Amino acid sequence: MLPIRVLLVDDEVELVSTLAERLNLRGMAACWEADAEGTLGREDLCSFELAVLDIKLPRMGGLELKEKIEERCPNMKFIFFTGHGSGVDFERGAAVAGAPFYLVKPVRIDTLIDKINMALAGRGASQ
Amino acid sequence: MRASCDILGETGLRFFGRVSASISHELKNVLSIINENSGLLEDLALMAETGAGLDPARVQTSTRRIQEQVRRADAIIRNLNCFSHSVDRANGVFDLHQLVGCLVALTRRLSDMKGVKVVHAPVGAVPLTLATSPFFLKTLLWNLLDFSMEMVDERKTVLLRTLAASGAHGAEVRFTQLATSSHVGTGFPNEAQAALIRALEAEVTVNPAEIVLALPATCLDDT
Repeated sequence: MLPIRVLLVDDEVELVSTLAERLNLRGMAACWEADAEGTLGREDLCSFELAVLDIKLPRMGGLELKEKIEERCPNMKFIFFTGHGSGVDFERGAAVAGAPFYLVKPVRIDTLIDKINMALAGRGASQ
Repeated sequence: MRASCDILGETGLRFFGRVSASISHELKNVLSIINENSGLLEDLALMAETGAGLDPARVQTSTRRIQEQVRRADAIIRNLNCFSHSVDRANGVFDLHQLVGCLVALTRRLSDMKGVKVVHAPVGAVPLTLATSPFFLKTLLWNLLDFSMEMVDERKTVLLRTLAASGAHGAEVRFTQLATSSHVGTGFPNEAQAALIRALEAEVTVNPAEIVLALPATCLDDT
């Protein structure tokens, strides 16, 4: 079985690179980007099954980035995470991704993996 | 028209809230980096227990990152402490260079989100000691900085210069490297900004490529 391909996007490079390394140790194929421009510039963007996006990214936020990715890659699934725990952010993020897929930092890796598996459950059946 | 004290109260609270939210976000990021790197060290230890080799360089990278984040959090909290104490008294004695440096550090994440770099360049003698309301001044400076960040030219940088002035003015803060186009200055000052300018007895001049905040000579602390 091929490893799950996950793209992590967060402007905190030391966070996102380490998180990608830990997911890779757990059998996933995780890559990372630090901003929307780098993400949208990837030629292999649609090869990822799921993207984990920080809500607060420089210049273009995670919610807008999700829309841009979806235009190109309609089958991609999304999880949001953020350092802000504000009610407004939660409502916006949860409305787009669903409340279970909106995580507040710091995130336990086991929780993140559970959410990834949950988001991708039944992915073969709908394609 | 609303009373000036209401406007100042609202504006100050809004500024306080925005900075506090930005700092809480930044501290969450610090905790997340520590969380992931300590988790990675645990992963490596578990792998070593099962006979996999342990790469000392990888361990050193994670421990270095954790130490850097502890230093980062310490600096953030030091700046937060300086910010919080700026409301202890209505008026205080402080170094303008230091106050502006602290403000730039506190609002770094907010400027990063706009894709703008803010550089502080103190000019002349250190310290440049003023006696006025540090919180009103920080609030006005943030308003001007926020406004300036919408006006940056292609360099995407605001260069903030703090310097002593002559004549009726005691000190100046210059927001430079702004665009020279005709829309510069549109919408400034609003009601709240005007109230802050009055409260500090300051003057704000919007020039092409530059905004100048002049503080009165009466603010200079000559004790």
